[in-house]
Amino acid sequence: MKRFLTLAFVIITAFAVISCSKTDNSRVSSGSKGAAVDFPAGRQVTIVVPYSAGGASDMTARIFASELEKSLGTKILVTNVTGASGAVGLEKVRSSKPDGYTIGYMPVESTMLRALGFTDLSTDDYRFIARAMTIPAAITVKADSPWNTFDDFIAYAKENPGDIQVGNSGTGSIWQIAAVTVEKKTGVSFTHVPFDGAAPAVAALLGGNIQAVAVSPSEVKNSVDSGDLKVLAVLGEERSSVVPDVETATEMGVDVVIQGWGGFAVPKGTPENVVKILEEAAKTAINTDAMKKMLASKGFEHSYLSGEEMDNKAAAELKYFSELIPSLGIVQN
Amino acid sequence: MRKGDTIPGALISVFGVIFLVATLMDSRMTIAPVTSDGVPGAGFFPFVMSLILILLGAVLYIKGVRQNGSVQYLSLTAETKQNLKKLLLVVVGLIIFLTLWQLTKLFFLWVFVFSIYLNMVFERSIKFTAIYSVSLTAIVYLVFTVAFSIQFK
Amino acid sequence: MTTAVWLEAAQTLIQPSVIFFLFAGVFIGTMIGAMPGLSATMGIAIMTPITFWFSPVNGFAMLMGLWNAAIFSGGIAAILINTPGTPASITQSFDGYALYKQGKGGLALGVNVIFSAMGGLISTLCLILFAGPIAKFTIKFGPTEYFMLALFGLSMMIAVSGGNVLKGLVIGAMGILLSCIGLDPILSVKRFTMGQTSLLSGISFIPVMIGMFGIGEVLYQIYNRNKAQEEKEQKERKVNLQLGKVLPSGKEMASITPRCIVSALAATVIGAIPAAGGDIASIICWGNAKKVSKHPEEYGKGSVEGLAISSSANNGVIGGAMTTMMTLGIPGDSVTAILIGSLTMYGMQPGIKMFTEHASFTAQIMLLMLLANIVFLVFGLLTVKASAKVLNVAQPTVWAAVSVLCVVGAYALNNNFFDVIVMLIAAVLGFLFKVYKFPTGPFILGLLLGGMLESNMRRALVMSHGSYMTFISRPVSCVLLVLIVITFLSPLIKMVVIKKKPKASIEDSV
Repeated sequence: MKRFLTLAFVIITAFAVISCSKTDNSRVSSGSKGAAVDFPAGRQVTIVVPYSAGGASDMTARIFASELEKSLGTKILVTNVTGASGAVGLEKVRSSKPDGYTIGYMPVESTMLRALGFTDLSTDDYRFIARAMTIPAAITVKADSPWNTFDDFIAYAKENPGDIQVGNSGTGSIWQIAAVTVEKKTGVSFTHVPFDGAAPAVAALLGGNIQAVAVSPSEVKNSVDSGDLKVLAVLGEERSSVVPDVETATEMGVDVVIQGWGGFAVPKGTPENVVKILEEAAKTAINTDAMKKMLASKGFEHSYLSGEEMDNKAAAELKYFSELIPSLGIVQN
Repeated sequence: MRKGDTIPGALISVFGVIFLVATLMDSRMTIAPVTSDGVPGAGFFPFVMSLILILLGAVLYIKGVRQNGSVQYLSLTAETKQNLKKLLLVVVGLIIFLTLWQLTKLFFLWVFVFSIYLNMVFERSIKFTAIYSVSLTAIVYLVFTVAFSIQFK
Repeated sequence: MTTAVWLEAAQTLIQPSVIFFLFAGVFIGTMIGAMPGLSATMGIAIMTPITFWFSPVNGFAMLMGLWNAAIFSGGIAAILINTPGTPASITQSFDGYALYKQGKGGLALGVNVIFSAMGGLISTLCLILFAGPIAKFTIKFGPTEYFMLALFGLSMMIAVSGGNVLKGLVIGAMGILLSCIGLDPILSVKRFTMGQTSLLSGISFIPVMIGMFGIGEVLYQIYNRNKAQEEKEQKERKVNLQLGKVLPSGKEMASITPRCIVSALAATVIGAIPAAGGDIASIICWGNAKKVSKHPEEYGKGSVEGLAISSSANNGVIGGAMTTMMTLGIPGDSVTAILIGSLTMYGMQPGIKMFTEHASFTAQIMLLMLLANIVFLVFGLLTVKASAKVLNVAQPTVWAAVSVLCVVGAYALNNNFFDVIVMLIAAVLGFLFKVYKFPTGPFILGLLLGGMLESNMRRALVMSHGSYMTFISRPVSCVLLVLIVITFLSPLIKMVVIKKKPKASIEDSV
């Protein structure tokens, strides 16, 4: 009996504490509403990364956070909320309070998830504050393969439809879309082999099980350096700093630009002046040397875009992917 | 009916049937190849595996019936009855703890209360309970929230 | 891997933080291993979410220290209270406890430390020697071969099911079926997700392991608690027998060592077989050593040789299990199953890349394993007499802490409450499996290898344009297929072998 009295006592105390902290919270929020320009007002800002710690996206977000901490003048916490190609983390950002205290790391997948039918969210639900980097797709083959140029490769594919097996990092991934876009623009056909991520696809290419991969240059860099693989074309806006000698597809007269990117956004409905403050701070943070150095070391292209430019760009990509993805025949709703 | 493998066997078959029905009802999970080159569709594997599971579960059930109670798992002695009661208290406590955490978001408070509750279930002394719960909560706070900055929401 | 890689790896390890986490791992591992009911697997499952926040080297320093030390210290409980601290130390209780009752407890504990370290070192050397070549062999492996490998791994279900093959198959099939939840690996079709975004990427594996080996185990212990037995053990502990000398004489060492080297090598091979862990290895090694020993009559009645064989066998498994895990991505036992998960979280995938791109990290892991053995050798010998104290911790103290840590760990992994729910369901399932004597090994294998099995089968068919001949026409795949057929026929052969071995103990330990 005595024990249960103790427990009852503890629970009552607990509820007392809850009610106290509740009133505490409301006081803070009402205060900040009155003076929204007073952002961040010393409060902690959280950056949600939809991928696990230690990965390239996570590192980008963490360096960004430490630079943003300086330019924004407040403590920033990075948390990883992972799962479902990033959908779980992005969902968390979307459903957070649009007050600027929750920023999401936005990968290119944020424009694709809805078309893929994984979730109903899209970049329309967010306001970008900046784009930090891009990472182009590239067509890579074995060094001893008969194709020495992108034209050779396409010419062979045209004569032998379905013969070339192109590995990608999974059905519905940006790298599969890259290969499909090449197919569409040049009128050839490949056999697409989806792997669980880029690394196994590259391993299968090294083992001679497939003939090409459509992944980023940084993911094949080691094997290119060791002389096992060669990059035929880069599918970016500009040449890749990882393989600067390789021409882009656009330079070769094939109009294909597919690249991954990473940016930062807040949920739609965030007050305009808060977004402005964040945009300014993000611009300073992204253009620091530390950020540039880190991006280069990971094989990413440093490529700043302001929030508004990025909003437009994302909207255009969203439209393109929403048309393209259903035609891939992978999603049947 | 608490005899041998009959109940687990039946439950496993039911589990298989649930997956089988779900597979057959979902039009996107095709069992036959969707493309002309003969690669099995998304429903092929779940279909085959659930069929195997139903079959194996049925075999287990029949085996259980044949043994006719010669093998028993839940022998209810006075002590196991007591133990089962405690077990139930722990599971229910765990569920209540998780629910309260999600409802109020006050994680550490409920860790503390849950720890006290567990120690009461295990009949520890009040002094031990207090010291134990305070240190356990403190360790979790220091390791996870201070060192790894994890926010328990 | 070149000398430069090894030197670089060695340099990385000489860092205060790495050394600190290695020691921390060994310390925690010794505690966990010595406490009956806290297995090495449970320790690794609970600690993985924590190490996930360290750098990969620090994380693996801790996990390797913990694992190696936990297997060794499982022998402490086996010797002093006749209860294996971790399933792998089952045969150590046969001889160790007898030695303790003869007043040679110190010697038993000393032999346990020395020969555990020896077994660990030998098998780690095997790992270092053979992992590279095996990995190189896998370069040519395509989806066809990986499908066959996964199937081969799964066929080992039969081997680990102990006495009940049917139950092993049932539970393995259930694991594979559950691995189908989430996005389908080839067409990205949603399967059985019930509208939950969190289920898109499938059931997360580590929360399942935490639930099954953490809270699930606690629930079983609560259910199975026998107060009379507990009091008896408590009394035995109070008797305080003389421990006597700790180190074996030079003559004893010389006569035992060669046999233990053989047993460590055999254990390495057994460890490399998917899902066959330390328990099976020590039973097989102990049984065979008894047959060829000059004094078979002493086995089970306090044979120093028998104890040494068991000690080196259960630690010898580690190198073998790691070889399979790092080269093929198939778990050698339940601990390596979790380690695959933590490697993936660090952005690495087992396979050839571990020996090319991540070669320096792989070298670090191997060196850490060597170091872990040396550290626990020193630590173990220094604390021989103090280690008995760990056994005085009451079970409920452990239960409460494990329950809380499992919840915290499952959440901390991905900051996702859904994982906590998965953990809780796995815990209840794990408890029911234990009560109804279903082996958990096949379930883990099925859940982990199901995805590998399915995606590679369908990927292979994409590449062969739908022709199933690809599985027979490729040589490696064909050899594996033959092996699989043999394995499925083996229960018949095995029945004959098992009859000669202590059957009951095999069943208990799985």
